[in-house]
Amino acid sequence: MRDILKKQPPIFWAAVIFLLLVLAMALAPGLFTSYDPIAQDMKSLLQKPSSAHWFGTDNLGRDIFARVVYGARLDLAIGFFAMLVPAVFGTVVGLTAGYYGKSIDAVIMRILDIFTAFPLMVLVIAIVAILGSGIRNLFIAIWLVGWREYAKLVRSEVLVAKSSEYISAARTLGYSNARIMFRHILPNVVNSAFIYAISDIMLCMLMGASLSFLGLGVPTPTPEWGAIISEGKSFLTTSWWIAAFPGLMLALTGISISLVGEGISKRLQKNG
Amino acid sequence: MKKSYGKLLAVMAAAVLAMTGCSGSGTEESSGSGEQAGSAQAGSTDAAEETEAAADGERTVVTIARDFDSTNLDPVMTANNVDIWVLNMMVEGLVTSSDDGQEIIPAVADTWEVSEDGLTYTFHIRDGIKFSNGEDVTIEDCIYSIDRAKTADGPWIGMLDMIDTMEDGGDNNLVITLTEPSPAFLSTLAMFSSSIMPKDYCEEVGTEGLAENPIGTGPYVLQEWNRGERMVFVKNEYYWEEGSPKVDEIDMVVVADDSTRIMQLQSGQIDVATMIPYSRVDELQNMGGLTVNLFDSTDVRFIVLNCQNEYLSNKSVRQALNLATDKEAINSAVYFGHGQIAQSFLAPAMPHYKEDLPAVSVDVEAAKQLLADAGYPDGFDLTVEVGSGDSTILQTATMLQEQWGEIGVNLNIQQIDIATARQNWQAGEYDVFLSNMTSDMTDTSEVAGLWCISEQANCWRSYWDDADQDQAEELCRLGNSEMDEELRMDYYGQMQEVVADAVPVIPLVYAPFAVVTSDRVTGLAQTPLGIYNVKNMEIAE
Amino acid sequence: MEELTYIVKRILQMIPVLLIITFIIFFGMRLIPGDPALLLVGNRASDEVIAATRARLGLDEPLFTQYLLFLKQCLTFDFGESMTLRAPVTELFAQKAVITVSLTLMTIVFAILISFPLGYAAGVKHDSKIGSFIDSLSLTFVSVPEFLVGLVIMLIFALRLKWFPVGGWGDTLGERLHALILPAFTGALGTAALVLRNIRGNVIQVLDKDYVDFAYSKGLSPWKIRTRYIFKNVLISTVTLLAMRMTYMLAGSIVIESVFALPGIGQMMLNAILARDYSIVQATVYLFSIIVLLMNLLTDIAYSLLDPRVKLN
Repeated sequence: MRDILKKQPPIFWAAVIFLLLVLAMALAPGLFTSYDPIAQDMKSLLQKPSSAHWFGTDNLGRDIFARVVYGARLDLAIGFFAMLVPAVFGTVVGLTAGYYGKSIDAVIMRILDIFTAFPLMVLVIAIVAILGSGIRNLFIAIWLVGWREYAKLVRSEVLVAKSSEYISAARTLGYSNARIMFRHILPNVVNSAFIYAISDIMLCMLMGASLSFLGLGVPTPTPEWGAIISEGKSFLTTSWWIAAFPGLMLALTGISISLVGEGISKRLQKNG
Repeated sequence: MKKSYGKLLAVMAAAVLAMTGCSGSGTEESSGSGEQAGSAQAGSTDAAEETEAAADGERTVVTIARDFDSTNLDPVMTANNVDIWVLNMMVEGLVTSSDDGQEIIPAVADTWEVSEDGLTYTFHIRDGIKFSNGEDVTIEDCIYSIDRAKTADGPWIGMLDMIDTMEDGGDNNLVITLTEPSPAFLSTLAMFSSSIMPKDYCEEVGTEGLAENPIGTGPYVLQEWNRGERMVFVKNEYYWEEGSPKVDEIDMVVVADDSTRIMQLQSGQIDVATMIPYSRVDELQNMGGLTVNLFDSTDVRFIVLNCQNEYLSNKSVRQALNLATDKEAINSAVYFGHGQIAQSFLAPAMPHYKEDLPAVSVDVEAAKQLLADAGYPDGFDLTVEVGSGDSTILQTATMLQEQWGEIGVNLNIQQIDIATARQNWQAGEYDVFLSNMTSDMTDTSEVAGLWCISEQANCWRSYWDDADQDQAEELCRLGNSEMDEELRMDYYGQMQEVVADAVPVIPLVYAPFAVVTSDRVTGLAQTPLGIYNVKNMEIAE
Repeated sequence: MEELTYIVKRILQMIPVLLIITFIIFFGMRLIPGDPALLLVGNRASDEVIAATRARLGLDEPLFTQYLLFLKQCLTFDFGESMTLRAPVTELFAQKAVITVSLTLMTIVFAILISFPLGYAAGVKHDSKIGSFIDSLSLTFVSVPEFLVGLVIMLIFALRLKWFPVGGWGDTLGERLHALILPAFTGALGTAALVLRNIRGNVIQVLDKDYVDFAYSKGLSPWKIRTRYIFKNVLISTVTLLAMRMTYMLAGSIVIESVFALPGIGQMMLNAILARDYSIVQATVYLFSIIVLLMNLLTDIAYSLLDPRVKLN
């Protein structure tokens, strides 16, 4: 652990501090603002950023800073869990399909085809119409479609990796399939999935915005960055701050996660 | 089977050709999009001629953008505003309503007389009037069209049931007799559904053909229709009114995104943008080169309360919710102050709107008291289903959540796909529902009936059904058949009082139609019913 | 010959997959609440009118009969008329597909043009400021919603600078290509960011490998090393990513289509689903699945072409 943190550039530490800040917002939002993120104030509609409202207010008079702070919890949860479950599942599926090949691969890939063939929108609207909207169903929607990318990426890499001499050597040594898959192939193929996962955190958080567009967003008035950006869409030319600040937080969080992830993985590779 | 594959390929190939258009020469040539699949007619725009004429400064084109495309243009089969609001460009009734919606004015008939007993109407058909296909309008066409409106199996069936007989009275006169005097008769004839169309054309193309392209005596003819993209209307050369219409071509384009629609207007790509969000009105009013029109409308935004609901069946509870609803706040935050606070379920643009209904002001204490008396001192839970993508309704719901929360009523907002929400509401499987309504006729009877007569629409699916409702229904029926205008106002006025007291519906605001036009265009009108009147539209030089 | 057998086998495998898809979409659509007849005739229609509409749409037939009819349509590619638009579904699809396919292709081209050079540069220079700058920039692209990017781009390049039309779809080829540039660019940013980061990551990984050091020590020119080791390793996952993004966009990016007023598949599908136009939704999903399946097959063939170590089996 200490090795990992050694000799990291200052930008790495800046990213870590920012992420800790966001984490703190998620855990104890009350420390950052005294405003209630859902309280409406008819006397201060659409106010510019000021000392009273750092990020301004929206057309229901809600404090944008408070909404951004309170939104951190949900966004971190969405970014992390919505990414993690499909990432792990998809990686295992891709690994299995690529390693065993033949009919196992064929069956898995055809199931994947079925999932790919349904446009996301059809799936999402079906889920909303049948189950209604809500955070639980938001996860269901993302999980249902999120694993495909990992499975395909990992499988494509496994196809290459398994032909290497190293793997055939492991086979002749009589290692178990599971051991070869997870000990020998996985480390070689996980890179693409890892890189994708970092961007995927952002894509998952942004799903909030796209899904609000389709009506499967987080239930109002719960603050969530993507949903706040969607709400700010009608005010882009008049009250830019509604969409700009959550957008900035989203971008900074994304960049920080990537910098930290990168720093750690680089060190791990050097050590390993 | 082979043939079908071939057909698919041919279609694909045609589409690819359409994509590439007639390129190569580099000159402006016809796109041939008129031949594209789904278009209304095979006739393609003669763009070469168009460019030539434009160079002479003769041919004028106005582009109007809206958020959705039309779906069905058969006047008797559609109940969608996207269709209704453009139908009068193509078809007209014997009479029509004035731009302010207050009067019935001549259209296909230039004069009419009513007998003493109010049972016989004699319409004189305008001399020499022709349909847009050049054929004369005959009494037979009129009788056929009105009979079709009366009997066709569509949403408007029953509206003309007061008609007893129709016959040719000679000298271009159509004589219609009624079974009983009807104050709404002329208004019903002015509705799009009673439009006069050529009998032989209707019989030849059937309802499917009319859905694609109705022919009538309107100022424009639908020349091309690319689904989800654009409708091209060209001037009806046979239009009866001298000097009208003024613009040669009107393009109705679909631009779903509000911001894009406004930007297109600013850039000059379009001339008129309809369905402008109220949040943008102030900004656009301060912008040069544009005119923001806020047309008076019959559009009422309201909350329907399900009167069969465990809590809402109690009148005191409904009254409490009404007292807890801050309409003023909703108007300023969601409608940006451009709406008008509503007390009656009838809009001020309707003829029998009751102006002096007691204004209900927010009174949280009184509301709490009412709830406590009703046996719910701690409040209860309600759910509102909000159709996805409708930000106005979503924000209204968000505000209600807070306002009703003050009296202990916990409103859950459930965002759901709009079709499901509508279906649940129709089936009565809901607690409260946020919606709006515009009238389709200048007469009060339609909207009044939908809200007060239970067999018509279960009181607009509020499923309101108690002694109050009986009273409202009785008053409504009296008003619907009363010929004396003063008495009629009296009945409808009392009816509005009963509804306001019993609260099956909480009217929120009267919302104007927000239409922005470039200063290049003048003379566009939108009637309170929502119908676009484009025949006096002009391009200012 | 082996390749041919493989391709034939894959195409045969599509039949059960397509059958399952038709089954799911057909019964799935009918499971979703919402009656197309009711939505079609509006709130005011009486029960008789609704029943008549149902009959006209063929919705009163037993479900299984309707499903068989759909299967027959799938075989003949003649899907009948749309319930809401009353035009032949196949024609509507072809008409809208032209827009969506053009948009997708242009998006992919832009994405490649942006991501390949930048991704390579960011990988080779990953220790320098340029590398981190490109990386941060790319992450900014993925973290801003498409509609925001689209509106801002349009505000600047179409409204202020007047270089492009404000959305819409022109009449001639030139106009159309011109109108597609901004939406394609907007769509390309997100895709480019994903591809760029993938290329960069793989380049770094390859550069760290011993065999590259070995190749350097053997005196191979940097260009040879690049082509021989780096590109080969990067291409497979890049092709996978691009193919995935392409399927995603072919489904119709409703956000981009809506912001740029392009009447493509996405908008048609959205309206069709909202109106419960079974005929359009079923046919579109079916035709779309055929495209997806063929694309997947092409990707797999591409793997073996790009890297002989991958065998088709």
